[in-house]
Amino acid sequence: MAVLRLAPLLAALLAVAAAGILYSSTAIAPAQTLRILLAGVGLYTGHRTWPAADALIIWQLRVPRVAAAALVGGALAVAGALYQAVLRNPLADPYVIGTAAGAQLGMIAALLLPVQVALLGFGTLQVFAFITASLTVLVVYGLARTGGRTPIVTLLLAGFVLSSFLISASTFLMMISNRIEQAMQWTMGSLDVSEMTQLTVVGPVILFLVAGSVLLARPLDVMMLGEEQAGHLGIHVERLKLVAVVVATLLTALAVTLAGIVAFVGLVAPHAIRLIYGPGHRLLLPSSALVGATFVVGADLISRVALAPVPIPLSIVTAVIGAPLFLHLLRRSKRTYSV
Amino acid sequence: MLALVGPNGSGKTTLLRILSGSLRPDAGDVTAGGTALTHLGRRHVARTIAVVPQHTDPSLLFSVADLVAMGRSPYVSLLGSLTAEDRRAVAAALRATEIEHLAGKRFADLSGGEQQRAALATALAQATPFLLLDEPTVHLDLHHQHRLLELLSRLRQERDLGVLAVMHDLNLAALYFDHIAVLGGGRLLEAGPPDAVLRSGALRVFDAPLVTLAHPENGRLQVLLDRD
Repeated sequence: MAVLRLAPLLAALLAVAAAGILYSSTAIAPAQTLRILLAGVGLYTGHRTWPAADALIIWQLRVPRVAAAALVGGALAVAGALYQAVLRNPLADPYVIGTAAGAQLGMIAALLLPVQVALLGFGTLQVFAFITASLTVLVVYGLARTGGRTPIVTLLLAGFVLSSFLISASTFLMMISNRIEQAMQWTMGSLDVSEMTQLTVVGPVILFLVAGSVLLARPLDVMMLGEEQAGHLGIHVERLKLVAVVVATLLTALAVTLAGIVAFVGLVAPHAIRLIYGPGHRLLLPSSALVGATFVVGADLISRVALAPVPIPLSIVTAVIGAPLFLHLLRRSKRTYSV
Repeated sequence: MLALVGPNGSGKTTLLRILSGSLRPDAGDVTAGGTALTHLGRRHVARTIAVVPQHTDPSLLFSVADLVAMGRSPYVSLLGSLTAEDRRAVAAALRATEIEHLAGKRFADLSGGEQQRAALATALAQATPFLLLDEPTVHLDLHHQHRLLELLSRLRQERDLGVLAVMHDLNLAALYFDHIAVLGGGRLLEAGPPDAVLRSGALRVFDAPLVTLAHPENGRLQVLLDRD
Protein backbone atom coordinates (compact mmCIF):
# COMPACT_ATOMS: atom_id res chain seq x y z
CA MET A 1 0.00 0.00 0.00
CA ALA A 2 2.64 2.48 1.11
CA VAL A 3 4.93 1.27 -1.68
CA LEU A 4 2.23 2.01 -4.24
CA ARG A 5 1.98 5.56 -2.98
CA LEU A 6 5.75 6.01 -3.21
CA ALA A 7 5.89 4.74 -6.81
CA PRO A 8 4.67 7.95 -8.53
CA LEU A 9 7.11 10.01 -6.46
CA LEU A 10 9.97 7.71 -7.42
CA ALA A 11 8.93 7.95 -11.07
CA ALA A 12 8.97 11.76 -10.85
CA LEU A 13 12.44 11.69 -9.32
CA LEU A 14 13.76 9.39 -12.08
CA ALA A 15 12.23 11.61 -14.76
CA VAL A 16 13.79 14.79 -13.37
CA ALA A 17 17.09 12.99 -12.80
CA ALA A 18 17.08 11.85 -16.44
CA ALA A 19 16.49 15.44 -17.54
CA GLY A 20 19.30 16.55 -15.27
CA ILE A 21 21.71 14.08 -16.83
CA LEU A 22 20.62 14.69 -20.43
CA TYR A 23 20.80 18.45 -20.27
CA SER A 24 24.07 20.30 -20.11
CA SER A 25 26.00 23.14 -21.68
CA THR A 26 28.19 20.70 -23.58
CA ALA A 27 25.93 19.16 -26.15
CA ILE A 28 25.93 15.38 -26.21
CA ALA A 29 23.01 13.86 -28.10
CA PRO A 30 20.40 12.26 -25.78
CA ALA A 31 20.71 8.90 -27.56
CA GLN A 32 24.46 9.04 -27.13
CA THR A 33 24.06 9.90 -23.43
CA LEU A 34 21.73 6.98 -23.00
CA ARG A 35 24.19 4.60 -24.65
CA ILE A 36 27.00 5.88 -22.46
CA LEU A 37 24.86 5.41 -19.36
CA LEU A 38 23.83 1.88 -20.33
CA ALA A 39 27.40 0.96 -21.19
CA GLY A 40 28.49 2.25 -17.80
CA VAL A 41 26.26 -0.21 -16.01
CA GLY A 42 27.04 -3.01 -18.46
CA LEU A 43 23.71 -3.00 -20.29
CA TYR A 44 25.05 -1.78 -23.64
CA THR A 45 27.34 -4.14 -25.45
CA GLY A 46 27.38 -2.55 -28.91
CA HIS A 47 30.18 -0.51 -30.43
CA ARG A 48 31.50 2.28 -28.29
CA THR A 49 31.40 5.00 -30.92
CA TRP A 50 31.63 7.96 -28.58
CA PRO A 51 34.70 9.99 -27.67
CA ALA A 52 36.20 9.14 -24.30
CA ALA A 53 35.67 12.74 -23.22
CA ASP A 54 31.90 12.34 -23.54
CA ALA A 55 31.85 9.32 -21.25
CA LEU A 56 34.00 11.25 -18.81
CA ILE A 57 31.58 14.19 -18.84
CA ILE A 58 28.60 11.93 -18.23
CA TRP A 59 30.13 9.75 -15.55
CA GLN A 60 32.45 12.18 -13.82
CA LEU A 61 30.32 15.35 -13.98
CA ARG A 62 26.66 14.88 -14.72
CA VAL A 63 25.81 11.68 -12.89
CA PRO A 64 27.60 12.69 -9.68
CA ARG A 65 25.98 16.10 -9.82
CA VAL A 66 22.47 14.70 -10.14
CA ALA A 67 23.16 12.02 -7.53
CA ALA A 68 24.50 14.65 -5.14
CA ALA A 69 21.44 16.85 -5.73
CA ALA A 70 19.13 13.93 -4.99
CA LEU A 71 21.04 13.01 -1.82
CA VAL A 72 21.10 16.61 -0.58
CA GLY A 73 17.39 17.03 -1.26
CA GLY A 74 16.44 13.75 0.39
CA ALA A 75 18.62 14.46 3.42
CA LEU A 76 17.32 17.99 3.97
CA ALA A 77 13.68 16.98 3.45
CA VAL A 78 13.89 14.19 6.03
CA ALA A 79 15.81 16.45 8.40
CA GLY A 80 13.03 19.05 8.07
CA ALA A 81 10.28 16.50 8.70
CA LEU A 82 12.12 15.22 11.80
CA TYR A 83 12.73 18.70 13.22
CA GLN A 84 9.10 19.62 12.61
CA ALA A 85 7.90 16.55 14.49
CA VAL A 86 10.28 16.83 17.41
CA LEU A 87 10.04 20.60 17.88
CA ARG A 88 6.30 20.39 17.18
CA ASN A 89 6.68 23.36 14.92
CA PRO A 90 5.65 23.45 11.26
CA LEU A 91 8.35 25.95 10.31
CA ALA A 92 11.32 24.02 11.67
CA ASP A 93 13.74 23.44 8.81
CA PRO A 94 17.51 22.95 8.80
CA TYR A 95 17.92 26.34 7.14
CA VAL A 96 15.40 28.29 9.23
CA ILE A 97 16.58 27.05 12.63
CA GLY A 98 20.25 27.63 11.84
CA THR A 99 21.52 24.03 11.73
CA ALA A 100 22.75 24.49 8.16
CA ALA A 101 24.62 27.68 9.06
CA GLY A 102 26.16 25.84 11.99
CA ALA A 103 27.29 22.97 9.78
CA GLN A 104 28.74 25.45 7.31
CA LEU A 105 30.81 27.21 9.93
CA GLY A 106 32.25 23.90 11.07
CA MET A 107 33.00 22.94 7.51
CA ILE A 108 34.79 26.18 6.70
CA ALA A 109 36.76 25.90 9.92
CA ALA A 110 37.76 22.40 8.86
CA LEU A 111 38.75 23.65 5.39
CA LEU A 112 41.11 26.13 6.98
CA LEU A 113 42.83 23.56 9.15
CA PRO A 114 46.41 22.99 8.06
CA VAL A 115 45.97 19.22 8.38
CA GLN A 116 43.13 17.20 6.93
CA VAL A 117 42.51 13.81 8.47
CA ALA A 118 40.30 11.36 6.68
CA LEU A 119 39.26 7.88 7.66
CA LEU A 120 37.32 5.85 5.09
CA GLY A 121 36.54 9.10 3.29
CA PHE A 122 35.06 10.66 6.38
CA GLY A 123 37.16 13.56 7.35
CA THR A 124 37.44 16.58 9.50
CA LEU A 125 34.93 18.24 7.18
CA GLN A 126 31.98 16.04 8.10
CA VAL A 127 32.94 15.73 11.75
CA PHE A 128 33.33 19.49 12.24
CA ALA A 129 30.10 20.17 10.36
CA PHE A 130 28.22 17.73 12.58
CA ILE A 131 29.67 19.10 15.80
CA THR A 132 28.91 22.74 15.05
CA ALA A 133 25.46 21.86 13.69
CA SER A 134 24.67 19.94 16.90
CA LEU A 135 25.83 22.85 19.03
CA THR A 136 23.63 25.18 17.00
CA VAL A 137 20.59 22.95 17.55
CA LEU A 138 21.28 22.82 21.28
CA VAL A 139 21.58 26.60 21.56
CA VAL A 140 18.52 27.35 19.39
CA TYR A 141 16.45 24.74 21.22
CA GLY A 142 17.58 26.05 24.60
CA LEU A 143 16.79 29.64 23.65
CA ALA A 144 13.45 28.91 22.01
CA ARG A 145 11.93 26.42 24.42
CA THR A 146 9.50 27.71 26.99
CA GLY A 147 7.22 25.61 29.15
CA GLY A 148 7.62 22.35 27.27
CA ARG A 149 6.89 23.86 23.88
CA THR A 150 8.91 25.48 21.15
CA PRO A 151 6.77 28.43 20.06
CA ILE A 152 7.07 29.45 16.43
CA VAL A 153 8.12 33.02 17.15
CA THR A 154 10.91 32.25 19.59
CA LEU A 155 12.21 29.43 17.40
CA LEU A 156 12.36 31.70 14.35
CA LEU A 157 14.01 34.51 16.29
CA ALA A 158 16.58 32.24 17.90
CA GLY A 159 17.27 30.55 14.55
CA PHE A 160 17.55 33.86 12.73
CA VAL A 161 19.87 35.49 15.25
CA LEU A 162 22.12 32.46 15.53
CA SER A 163 22.18 31.93 11.75
CA SER A 164 23.20 35.54 11.18
CA PHE A 165 25.96 35.24 13.72
CA LEU A 166 27.23 31.93 12.33
CA ILE A 167 27.20 33.20 8.75
CA SER A 168 29.15 36.29 9.83
CA ALA A 169 31.64 34.04 11.57
CA SER A 170 31.92 31.90 8.41
CA THR A 171 32.48 35.02 6.30
CA PHE A 172 35.16 36.21 8.67
CA LEU A 173 36.93 32.86 8.51
CA MET A 174 36.81 32.94 4.72
CA MET A 175 38.19 36.48 4.64
CA ILE A 176 41.27 35.54 6.61
CA SER A 177 41.80 32.31 4.71
CA ASN A 178 43.62 31.70 1.48
CA ARG A 179 40.99 29.29 0.16
CA ILE A 180 38.29 31.89 -0.12
CA GLU A 181 37.10 30.80 -3.55
CA GLN A 182 36.45 27.22 -2.63
CA ALA A 183 34.67 28.29 0.50
CA MET A 184 32.66 30.93 -1.37
CA GLN A 185 31.28 28.35 -3.76
CA TRP A 186 30.02 26.32 -0.85
CA THR A 187 28.29 29.16 0.91
CA MET A 188 26.25 29.98 -2.18
CA GLY A 189 24.81 26.49 -2.26
CA SER A 190 26.36 24.70 -5.16
CA LEU A 191 26.79 21.21 -6.43
CA ASP A 192 29.93 22.02 -8.42
CA VAL A 193 32.03 20.76 -5.56
CA SER A 194 30.60 17.29 -5.43
CA GLU A 195 33.08 14.65 -6.31
CA MET A 196 32.39 11.01 -6.93
CA THR A 197 34.79 9.96 -4.16
CA GLN A 198 32.92 12.06 -1.63
CA LEU A 199 29.59 10.73 -2.87
CA THR A 200 30.49 7.09 -2.50
CA VAL A 201 31.11 7.68 1.18
CA VAL A 202 28.46 10.22 2.14
CA GLY A 203 25.78 8.77 -0.14
CA PRO A 204 25.34 5.41 1.58
CA VAL A 205 25.32 7.07 5.00
CA ILE A 206 22.53 9.45 3.90
CA LEU A 207 20.54 6.56 2.43
CA PHE A 208 21.03 4.55 5.61
CA LEU A 209 19.86 7.42 7.82
CA VAL A 210 16.85 8.18 5.62
CA ALA A 211 15.80 4.51 5.61
CA GLY A 212 16.46 4.24 9.36
CA SER A 213 14.34 7.29 10.11
CA VAL A 214 11.25 5.27 9.14
CA LEU A 215 11.81 3.27 12.35
CA LEU A 216 10.87 6.43 14.24
CA ALA A 217 7.60 6.87 12.34
CA ARG A 218 5.20 5.36 14.84
CA PRO A 219 6.49 7.15 17.96
CA LEU A 220 6.77 10.41 15.99
CA ASP A 221 3.08 10.12 15.12
CA VAL A 222 2.26 9.77 18.80
CA MET A 223 4.43 12.83 19.56
CA MET A 224 1.90 14.89 17.60
CA LEU A 225 -0.44 14.48 20.60
CA GLY A 226 2.01 16.44 22.75
CA GLU A 227 4.99 15.30 24.78
CA GLU A 228 3.09 14.56 27.97
CA GLN A 229 0.39 12.53 26.25
CA ALA A 230 3.07 10.69 24.24
CA GLY A 231 4.63 9.77 27.57
CA HIS A 232 1.26 8.46 28.76
CA LEU A 233 1.17 6.26 25.67
CA GLY A 234 4.48 4.67 26.59
CA ILE A 235 6.82 6.70 24.37
CA HIS A 236 10.29 7.47 25.74
CA VAL A 237 9.93 11.12 24.76
CA GLU A 238 13.40 12.39 25.66
CA ARG A 239 15.12 9.41 24.03
CA LEU A 240 13.03 9.79 20.87
CA LYS A 241 13.78 13.51 20.66
CA LEU A 242 17.49 12.89 21.07
CA VAL A 243 17.61 10.19 18.38
CA ALA A 244 15.49 12.19 15.93
CA VAL A 245 17.51 15.39 16.42
CA VAL A 246 20.82 13.55 16.04
CA VAL A 247 19.62 11.90 12.80
CA ALA A 248 18.25 15.20 11.46
CA THR A 249 21.42 17.07 12.36
CA LEU A 250 23.67 14.40 10.83
CA LEU A 251 21.63 14.54 7.62
CA THR A 252 21.88 18.34 7.58
CA ALA A 253 25.64 18.30 8.18
CA LEU A 254 26.22 15.74 5.41
CA ALA A 255 24.01 17.69 3.00
CA VAL A 256 25.93 20.87 3.75
CA THR A 257 29.27 19.19 3.12
CA LEU A 258 27.96 18.14 -0.30
CA ALA A 259 26.30 21.35 -1.43
CA GLY A 260 26.56 24.13 1.11
CA ILE A 261 23.43 25.77 2.40
CA VAL A 262 20.39 24.96 0.27
CA ALA A 263 17.43 26.85 1.66
CA PHE A 264 13.86 25.72 2.41
CA VAL A 265 14.03 22.12 1.09
CA GLY A 266 13.10 20.87 4.55
CA LEU A 267 9.95 22.98 4.43
CA VAL A 268 8.79 22.43 0.87
CA ALA A 269 8.98 18.64 0.70
CA PRO A 270 7.28 17.62 3.99
CA HIS A 271 4.51 20.18 3.63
CA ALA A 272 3.78 19.17 0.07
CA ILE A 273 3.49 15.56 1.24
CA ARG A 274 1.25 16.39 4.20
CA LEU A 275 -1.20 17.96 1.77
CA ILE A 276 -1.36 14.76 -0.28
CA TYR A 277 -0.79 11.89 2.13
CA GLY A 278 -1.65 13.40 5.53
CA PRO A 279 0.47 13.62 8.67
CA GLY A 280 1.47 9.94 9.24
CA HIS A 281 5.27 9.66 9.37
CA ARG A 282 5.46 6.15 7.93
CA LEU A 283 4.59 7.66 4.57
CA LEU A 284 5.74 11.21 5.28
CA LEU A 285 9.42 10.41 5.85
CA PRO A 286 10.17 8.30 2.73
CA SER A 287 7.98 10.38 0.44
CA SER A 288 9.50 13.62 1.72
CA ALA A 289 12.89 12.17 0.84
CA LEU A 290 11.74 11.46 -2.72
CA VAL A 291 10.06 14.86 -3.14
CA GLY A 292 13.05 16.67 -1.61
CA ALA A 293 15.38 14.81 -3.97
CA THR A 294 13.19 15.68 -6.96
CA PHE A 295 12.98 19.30 -5.82
CA VAL A 296 16.75 19.79 -5.56
CA VAL A 297 17.55 17.88 -8.78
CA GLY A 298 14.96 20.06 -10.54
CA ALA A 299 16.19 23.25 -8.88
CA ASP A 300 19.76 22.41 -9.90
CA LEU A 301 18.60 21.89 -13.46
CA ILE A 302 16.80 25.25 -13.41
CA SER A 303 19.87 26.91 -11.93
CA ARG A 304 21.91 25.68 -14.89
CA VAL A 305 19.32 26.41 -17.58
CA ALA A 306 17.69 29.68 -16.51
CA LEU A 307 20.51 32.11 -17.33
CA ALA A 308 22.73 29.67 -19.27
CA PRO A 309 25.62 29.71 -19.68
CA VAL A 310 25.82 31.62 -16.39
CA PRO A 311 24.76 29.30 -13.53
CA ILE A 312 22.60 30.72 -10.73
CA PRO A 313 23.41 29.59 -7.19
CA LEU A 314 21.21 26.62 -6.31
CA SER A 315 19.98 28.17 -3.08
CA ILE A 316 18.50 31.12 -4.95
CA VAL A 317 16.31 28.77 -6.98
CA THR A 318 15.10 26.84 -3.93
CA ALA A 319 14.48 30.10 -2.08
CA VAL A 320 12.32 31.49 -4.91
CA ILE A 321 10.02 28.51 -4.39
CA GLY A 322 10.53 28.01 -0.65
CA ALA A 323 10.27 31.58 0.67
CA PRO A 324 6.66 32.17 -0.45
CA LEU A 325 5.67 28.83 1.07
CA PHE A 326 7.41 29.80 4.29
CA LEU A 327 5.48 33.09 4.42
CA HIS A 328 2.23 31.28 3.68
CA LEU A 329 2.84 28.82 6.54
CA LEU A 330 3.77 31.66 8.86
CA ARG A 331 0.54 33.46 8.05
CA ARG A 332 -1.49 30.33 8.56
CA SER A 333 0.22 29.58 11.88
CA LYS A 334 -1.15 32.85 13.27
CA ARG A 335 -4.39 30.97 13.31
CA THR A 336 -4.38 27.40 14.52
CA TYR A 337 -1.90 25.07 12.99
CA SER A 338 -0.30 21.78 13.75
CA VAL A 339 1.92 19.58 11.66
CA MET B 1 -15.06 5.80 40.38
CA LEU B 2 -13.58 8.83 42.13
CA ALA B 3 -14.09 12.52 41.42
CA LEU B 4 -11.36 14.93 42.41
CA VAL B 5 -12.79 18.37 43.20
CA GLY B 6 -11.37 21.54 44.68
CA PRO B 7 -10.95 25.23 43.93
CA ASN B 8 -8.57 26.48 41.23
CA GLY B 9 -4.97 25.94 42.23
CA SER B 10 -5.78 23.33 44.84
CA GLY B 11 -3.50 20.78 43.19
CA LYS B 12 -5.98 18.64 41.26
CA THR B 13 -4.10 18.62 37.99
CA THR B 14 -0.74 18.29 39.75
CA LEU B 15 -2.05 15.24 41.60
CA LEU B 16 -3.31 13.80 38.31
CA ARG B 17 0.10 14.32 36.71
CA ILE B 18 1.82 12.62 39.64
CA LEU B 19 -0.62 9.71 39.49
CA SER B 20 -0.03 9.30 35.77
CA GLY B 21 3.74 9.29 36.20
CA SER B 22 4.27 12.58 34.32
CA LEU B 23 5.61 14.25 37.46
CA ARG B 24 7.82 12.70 40.09
CA PRO B 25 6.50 13.19 43.61
CA ASP B 26 8.86 15.08 45.95
CA ALA B 27 8.12 12.54 48.63
CA GLY B 28 6.35 9.19 48.62
CA ASP B 29 5.54 6.86 45.76
CA VAL B 30 2.65 6.13 43.46
CA THR B 31 2.33 2.37 43.36
CA ALA B 32 0.48 0.17 40.88
CA GLY B 33 0.08 -3.47 41.87
CA GLY B 34 2.60 -2.93 44.65
CA THR B 35 5.40 -1.47 42.50
CA ALA B 36 6.30 2.23 42.43
CA LEU B 37 5.59 3.84 39.03
CA THR B 38 9.10 5.25 39.01
CA HIS B 39 10.40 1.67 39.00
CA LEU B 40 8.20 0.56 36.13
CA GLY B 41 9.16 1.09 32.49
CA ARG B 42 7.30 3.70 30.46
CA ARG B 43 5.48 1.06 28.45
CA HIS B 44 4.54 -0.87 31.55
CA VAL B 45 3.04 2.28 33.10
CA ALA B 46 1.19 2.94 29.83
CA ARG B 47 -0.33 -0.55 30.03
CA THR B 48 -1.52 0.21 33.57
CA ILE B 49 -2.72 3.82 33.49
CA ALA B 50 -4.37 5.66 30.59
CA VAL B 51 -4.89 9.42 30.62
CA VAL B 52 -7.51 11.47 28.82
CA PRO B 53 -5.99 14.96 28.70
CA GLN B 54 -8.20 17.99 29.12
CA HIS B 55 -7.04 19.28 25.79
CA THR B 56 -6.15 17.40 22.61
CA ASP B 57 -4.88 19.58 19.75
CA PRO B 58 -8.13 20.12 17.80
CA SER B 59 -6.30 20.61 14.49
CA LEU B 60 -4.76 17.11 14.32
CA LEU B 61 -5.12 15.73 10.81
CA PHE B 62 -4.93 12.05 11.74
CA SER B 63 -8.03 10.00 11.07
CA VAL B 64 -10.01 8.94 14.12
CA ALA B 65 -9.04 5.30 13.46
CA ASP B 66 -5.33 6.21 13.32
CA LEU B 67 -5.62 8.30 16.48
CA VAL B 68 -7.36 5.55 18.43
CA ALA B 69 -4.79 3.03 17.15
CA MET B 70 -2.12 5.17 18.87
CA GLY B 71 -3.66 3.90 22.08
CA ARG B 72 -2.00 0.59 21.21
CA SER B 73 1.50 2.15 21.27
CA PRO B 74 2.46 0.51 24.56
CA TYR B 75 1.86 -2.91 22.96
CA VAL B 76 3.37 -2.43 19.50
CA SER B 77 7.06 -2.99 18.86
CA LEU B 78 9.21 -0.59 16.86
CA LEU B 79 8.95 -2.56 13.63
CA GLY B 80 5.75 -4.43 14.26
CA SER B 81 2.36 -3.50 12.93
CA LEU B 82 -1.01 -3.81 14.66
CA THR B 83 -1.95 -7.37 15.58
CA ALA B 84 -5.46 -8.83 15.46
CA GLU B 85 -5.74 -8.16 19.18
CA ASP B 86 -4.75 -4.51 18.66
CA ARG B 87 -7.42 -4.14 15.98
CA ARG B 88 -10.00 -5.72 18.27
CA ALA B 89 -9.13 -3.28 21.06
CA VAL B 90 -9.39 -0.32 18.66
CA ALA B 91 -12.75 -1.52 17.34
CA ALA B 92 -14.05 -2.07 20.87
CA ALA B 93 -12.96 1.42 21.94
CA LEU B 94 -14.67 2.98 18.91
CA ARG B 95 -17.81 1.01 19.69
CA ALA B 96 -17.83 1.88 23.40
CA THR B 97 -17.58 5.59 22.65
CA GLU B 98 -20.13 5.32 19.79
CA ILE B 99 -17.85 6.83 17.17
CA GLU B 100 -17.50 3.84 14.83
CA HIS B 101 -19.14 5.86 12.08
CA LEU B 102 -16.43 8.54 12.45
CA ALA B 103 -13.46 6.16 12.13
CA GLY B 104 -12.50 7.37 8.66
CA LYS B 105 -12.96 11.08 9.41
CA ARG B 106 -10.12 13.42 10.26
CA PHE B 107 -9.90 14.41 13.92
CA ALA B 108 -9.78 18.11 12.97
CA ASP B 109 -13.16 17.79 11.22
CA LEU B 110 -14.99 16.52 14.31
CA SER B 111 -17.13 18.58 16.69
CA GLY B 112 -15.84 19.26 20.20
CA GLY B 113 -17.95 16.49 21.70
CA GLU B 114 -16.82 14.00 19.07
CA GLN B 115 -13.19 14.96 19.65
CA GLN B 116 -13.62 14.38 23.38
CA ARG B 117 -15.04 10.93 22.68
CA ALA B 118 -12.20 10.13 20.26
CA ALA B 119 -9.67 11.14 22.94
CA LEU B 120 -11.47 8.83 25.37
CA ALA B 121 -11.48 6.03 22.79
CA THR B 122 -7.68 6.37 22.44
CA ALA B 123 -7.31 5.90 26.20
CA LEU B 124 -9.74 2.95 26.20
CA ALA B 125 -7.75 1.26 23.43
CA GLN B 126 -4.83 1.21 25.87
CA ALA B 127 -6.86 -1.44 27.76
CA THR B 128 -5.54 -0.36 31.14
CA PRO B 129 -7.05 -1.18 34.56
CA PHE B 130 -6.96 2.54 35.48
CA LEU B 131 -8.24 5.58 33.62
CA LEU B 132 -7.45 9.17 34.61
CA LEU B 133 -9.42 12.06 33.13
CA ASP B 134 -8.76 15.79 33.43
CA GLU B 135 -12.07 17.65 33.44
CA PRO B 136 -13.64 15.39 30.81
CA THR B 137 -16.99 17.22 30.69
CA VAL B 138 -15.71 20.75 30.48
CA HIS B 139 -16.48 21.47 26.83
CA LEU B 140 -19.48 19.20 26.48
CA ASP B 141 -23.16 20.10 26.34
CA LEU B 142 -25.64 18.48 28.76
CA HIS B 143 -26.39 15.58 26.44
CA HIS B 144 -22.73 14.69 25.99
CA GLN B 145 -21.92 15.25 29.67
CA HIS B 146 -24.59 12.70 30.52
CA ARG B 147 -23.47 10.20 27.85
CA LEU B 148 -19.81 10.40 28.80
CA LEU B 149 -20.37 9.94 32.53
CA GLU B 150 -22.86 7.12 31.92
CA LEU B 151 -20.29 5.44 29.70
CA LEU B 152 -17.64 5.74 32.41
CA SER B 153 -19.86 4.20 35.06
CA ARG B 154 -20.81 1.41 32.66
CA LEU B 155 -17.12 0.68 31.96
CA ARG B 156 -16.52 0.81 35.68
CA GLN B 157 -19.07 -1.95 36.16
CA GLU B 158 -18.39 -4.06 33.06
CA ARG B 159 -14.59 -4.01 33.07
CA ASP B 160 -13.89 -3.15 36.68
CA LEU B 161 -12.11 -0.07 35.35
CA GLY B 162 -10.72 2.24 38.04
CA VAL B 163 -11.78 5.76 37.06
CA LEU B 164 -10.40 8.94 38.55
CA ALA B 165 -11.56 12.26 37.10
CA VAL B 166 -10.79 15.85 37.95
CA MET B 167 -14.25 17.44 37.98
CA HIS B 168 -15.19 21.09 37.98
CA ASP B 169 -18.90 20.50 38.31
CA LEU B 170 -19.75 19.42 41.86
CA ASN B 171 -23.26 18.32 40.89
CA LEU B 172 -22.06 16.01 38.15
CA ALA B 173 -19.51 14.62 40.59
CA ALA B 174 -22.20 14.02 43.20
CA LEU B 175 -24.60 12.50 40.70
CA TYR B 176 -22.38 10.08 38.77
CA PHE B 177 -19.41 9.20 40.99
CA ASP B 178 -19.09 6.67 43.83
CA HIS B 179 -16.62 8.79 45.74
CA ILE B 180 -15.56 12.41 45.91
CA ALA B 181 -12.23 13.72 47.20
CA VAL B 182 -11.95 17.42 48.03
CA LEU B 183 -8.53 19.06 47.64
CA GLY B 184 -7.59 22.46 49.02
CA GLY B 185 -4.19 24.13 49.12
CA GLY B 186 -2.49 20.92 48.00
CA ARG B 187 -4.01 18.84 50.83
CA LEU B 188 -6.74 16.23 50.93
CA LEU B 189 -9.56 17.75 52.98
CA GLU B 190 -12.24 15.11 52.76
CA ALA B 191 -12.96 11.91 50.86
CA GLY B 192 -15.89 9.56 50.82
CA PRO B 193 -19.30 8.92 49.28
CA PRO B 194 -20.75 12.09 47.69
CA ASP B 195 -23.50 12.72 50.24
CA ALA B 196 -21.13 12.39 53.20
CA VAL B 197 -18.57 14.70 51.59
CA LEU B 198 -21.15 17.31 50.68
CA ARG B 199 -22.48 17.30 54.24
CA SER B 200 -19.03 17.44 55.84
CA GLY B 201 -18.44 21.13 55.32
CA ALA B 202 -15.33 20.48 53.22
CA LEU B 203 -16.90 22.55 50.45
CA ARG B 204 -16.14 25.67 52.53
CA VAL B 205 -12.77 25.54 50.76
CA PHE B 206 -14.51 26.96 47.68
CA ASP B 207 -15.19 30.16 49.63
CA ALA B 208 -18.61 30.66 48.04
CA PRO B 209 -22.12 30.87 49.52
CA LEU B 210 -23.50 27.37 48.94
CA VAL B 211 -26.67 25.52 49.82
CA THR B 212 -27.08 21.77 49.50
CA LEU B 213 -30.41 20.16 48.74
CA ALA B 214 -31.67 16.72 47.79
CA HIS B 215 -32.27 15.91 44.15
CA PRO B 216 -36.06 15.71 43.73
CA GLU B 217 -35.86 12.51 41.63
CA ASN B 218 -33.11 10.41 43.20
CA GLY B 219 -32.50 12.04 46.55
CA ARG B 220 -28.76 12.55 45.98
CA LEU B 221 -27.36 15.78 47.40
CA GLN B 222 -26.74 18.65 44.98
CA VAL B 223 -25.08 22.00 45.47
CA LEU B 224 -26.44 25.42 44.54
CA LEU B 225 -24.94 28.87 44.81
CA ASP B 226 -26.78 31.14 47.20
CA ARG B 227 -26.73 34.73 46.00
CA ASP B 228 -27.05 37.10 48.95
